[in-house]
Amino acid sequence: MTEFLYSIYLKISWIFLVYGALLLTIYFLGVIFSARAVKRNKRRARFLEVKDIVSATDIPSVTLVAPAFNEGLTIVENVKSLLSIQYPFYELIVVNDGSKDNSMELLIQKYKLKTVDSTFIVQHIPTAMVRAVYKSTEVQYKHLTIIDKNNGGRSDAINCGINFATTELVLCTDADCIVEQDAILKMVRPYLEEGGEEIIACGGAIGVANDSDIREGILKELRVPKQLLTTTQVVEYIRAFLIGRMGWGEVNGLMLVSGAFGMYPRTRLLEVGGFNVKTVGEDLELCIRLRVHMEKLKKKYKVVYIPETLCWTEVPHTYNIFVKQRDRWARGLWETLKLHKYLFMNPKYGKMGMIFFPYWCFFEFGAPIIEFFGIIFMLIFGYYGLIDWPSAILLFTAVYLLGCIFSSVAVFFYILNFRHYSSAKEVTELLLAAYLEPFLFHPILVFGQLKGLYKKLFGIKSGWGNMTRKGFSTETSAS
Amino acid sequence: MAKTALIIQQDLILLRVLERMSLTHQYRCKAIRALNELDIEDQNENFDLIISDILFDGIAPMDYVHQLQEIIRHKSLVIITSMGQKKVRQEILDIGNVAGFFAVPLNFDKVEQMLS
Amino acid sequence: MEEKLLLLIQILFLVLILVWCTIGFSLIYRKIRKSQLNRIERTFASEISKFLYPAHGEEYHYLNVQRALQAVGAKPSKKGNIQYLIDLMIRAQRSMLGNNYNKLRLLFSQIPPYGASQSKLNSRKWYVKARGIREIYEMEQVQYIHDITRERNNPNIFVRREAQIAMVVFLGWESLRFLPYLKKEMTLWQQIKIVEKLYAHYPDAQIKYLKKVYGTQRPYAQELLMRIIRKFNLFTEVDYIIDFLNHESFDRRETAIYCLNSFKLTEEQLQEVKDKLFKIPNTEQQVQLMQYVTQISTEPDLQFFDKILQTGNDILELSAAEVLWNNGYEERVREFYYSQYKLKEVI
Repeated sequence: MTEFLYSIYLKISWIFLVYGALLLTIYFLGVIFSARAVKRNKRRARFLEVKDIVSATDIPSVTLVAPAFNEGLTIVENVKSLLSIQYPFYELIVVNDGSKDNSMELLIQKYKLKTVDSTFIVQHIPTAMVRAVYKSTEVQYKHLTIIDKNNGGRSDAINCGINFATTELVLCTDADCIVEQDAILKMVRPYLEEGGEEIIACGGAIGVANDSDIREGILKELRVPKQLLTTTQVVEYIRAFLIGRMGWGEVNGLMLVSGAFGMYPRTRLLEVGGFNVKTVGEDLELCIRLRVHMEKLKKKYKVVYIPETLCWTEVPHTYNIFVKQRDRWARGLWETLKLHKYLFMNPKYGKMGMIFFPYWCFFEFGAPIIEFFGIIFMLIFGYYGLIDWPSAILLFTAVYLLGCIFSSVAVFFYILNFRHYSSAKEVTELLLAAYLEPFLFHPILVFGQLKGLYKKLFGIKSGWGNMTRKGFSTETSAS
Repeated sequence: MAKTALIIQQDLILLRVLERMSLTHQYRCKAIRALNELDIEDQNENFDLIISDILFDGIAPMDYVHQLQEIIRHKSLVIITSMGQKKVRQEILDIGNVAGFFAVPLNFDKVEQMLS
Repeated sequence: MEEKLLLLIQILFLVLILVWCTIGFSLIYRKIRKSQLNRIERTFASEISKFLYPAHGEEYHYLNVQRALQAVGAKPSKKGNIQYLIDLMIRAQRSMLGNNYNKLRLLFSQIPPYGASQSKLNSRKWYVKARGIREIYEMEQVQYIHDITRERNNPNIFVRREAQIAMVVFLGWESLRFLPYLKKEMTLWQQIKIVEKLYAHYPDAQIKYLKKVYGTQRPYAQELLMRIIRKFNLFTEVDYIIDFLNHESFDRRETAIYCLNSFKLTEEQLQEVKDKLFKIPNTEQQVQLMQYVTQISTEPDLQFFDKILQTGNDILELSAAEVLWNNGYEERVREFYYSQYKLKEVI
């Protein structure tokens, strides 16, 4: 019995070792690729500076689409903030997705809105019913369009905005996100430098703005959040965007452009029918569908990422909300992978079918499952005394140190290239949070992911979940 | 009594050149890089001329011009900006009470004519 | 096994300490560097403003500028600072036209760095070479044109791009004759820069050079020509743009529709555009063109809109109905949709 168990133990240990080694190799390659990408991006940016773009004439026009649902508390400030984005050919469409609060009244009052004749609405993408379309009577807000529609969810609201947009590019975000003033000027860069490969999606890094000084919808001073949970998410985001996305972008392997901040050519969005309203992982699903669409058209394409943080958001500040968020992300991943399962190891779709999609299946989807089984097996084999504990602890320490190195390198890349988190105190706080992450953050994250997968496995219905936000602090830096 | 000018430009080179140009035309000049550098005394001043950019943090270009006209008393407003496309120029002029709109790069001689 | 793991842990820990040191060093360096660069920028701005607008009756000598800049560290021995100074010079020169521009040109030829950009042309690094070319054309150092022309088909897109822009800056309209022979693609940004440089340096259009390259089959050259026609408002050349409205390439059609938008057309041209609308294989582009036709017409052409209403394309029909409705032809729209209902009932 013990011999049999030992042979199983050896086999399973090998599986875990190979899986872990593969994952480490991918991370390591990610660091190399992202270092190369960030460096090149910085060099290229010198030949296409924001100042050059802002004065240019033939640059593509951009519509920012921001869905809003029950955001009466901050909607006026948020719209003001989105209106202040600097771009010469810019339109803003805010879609009120059937809010039950006083959002519409506040907007009508502040921006002196009047309904425009909407007898004929050309809906390329079907959405929930549009009640009215508003434009401001004030000349200084002429770029603003507010659409009041019945509730249909975030994707439905963005689709509605896409229908009304008339520009070449559409930037999708959320009304409660804080977008950097020069974000669009930076986001159009890849489109201006597009060569033989068409840019079908461009994402910008998203940052954490919890506990920062935000006044009238503008980020005045970025601060490291006060809680460990939120600070750890700062490091997580930096790592994900700077190492993960930039690395994958280098090999044109990006399958995801975050829903909170992504730019797409409007024509391509219309061709694929916009966001999928039936999944909670709509951003991942859209990106994969766009890639599939281009593969079918046999056109060369690229999905790119801008390493700079151009959009700031509030991340979950309690473990409860955090678990809900990760549960939703896991469900979104499950739904999308299931929807596009035909891609798996399908040579017809080139690298996407043979490498990128399988990576998502094995490492993004599979990681929490592997971790879960890892713990189970450790308990079982530990109980039977098969584990060499001193070696196991040393191995764990080595892996932990490797994780610390990856996080530290990500923080280093960030402070080397960007202006945020520039004081020693801030960097120390970020590094400390990163080093505590495996003990205090990661187990909760895995729990949230497993909860989502459990729900899908047993068909337990769940939507977006109640994502209560604390709301951005409006206090001044002195207080 | 010397005439007064307020210059608001984020670009330091433009700011200093415009400031110097105003001084040589005997203007009493306040040169700042953003509106929040204004003090209370400045806000009570009735400037003969304001030369301003339209690209500032936290406010849309057109909204900025509108608010500038409301907040700071002045006789004449001139816009000098790198975002000087025809469309933007038309929109700014549509707001009204803007004496001049110059896209960067600009011929300073034309601005000098306005000063004198 | 345990010993090997211990060794690995020690190595990893050392690496981690190394990363910490690098972070610390870069934090300190950035702080110092930032204040250094700010000082150079402040001095540069103040000095050139004094040079352009000296106090009455006095001339501000260029040596004063040179001394002030050297005092804050912008001297040839500090390469990083000199590069920053060159960037500031370009920035200043690109902000001004007329008399000030000429004064600055003169000033920058008198103070160091001398020939710093030319040495970059021989660099193996693409970003150094491309930067050198850029500095040369921005500072109008026309004497290096031959060195730059050689790079017009360089495999690196940035070197190639800067070289081609430089050719436009130095040779003007005549440089367009190279277009059909350029081997590599041209990005949108490159086209924008070429058109802008042409407009800034040679504002009087020389159509004969345009006509010489009309026959080119290079896609980027065709797009560039359309953009030039648009920027210079060349009404006589609009037919070149109209020809591309029903081109097989999506991008060519898109550029044509975009460029056509800034023109008003003759009756014949308008009719040609209307005819071509039905030959465009993309609904979105058809809608865009229809909106343009509406915008430049004083009255909606009912025959044209009736024809659109018969296309069987829902989006196009709805867009046409919207135009008719908003122009006071509600009855016509009602009639059209009622007839559709009746047709469906019969079926």
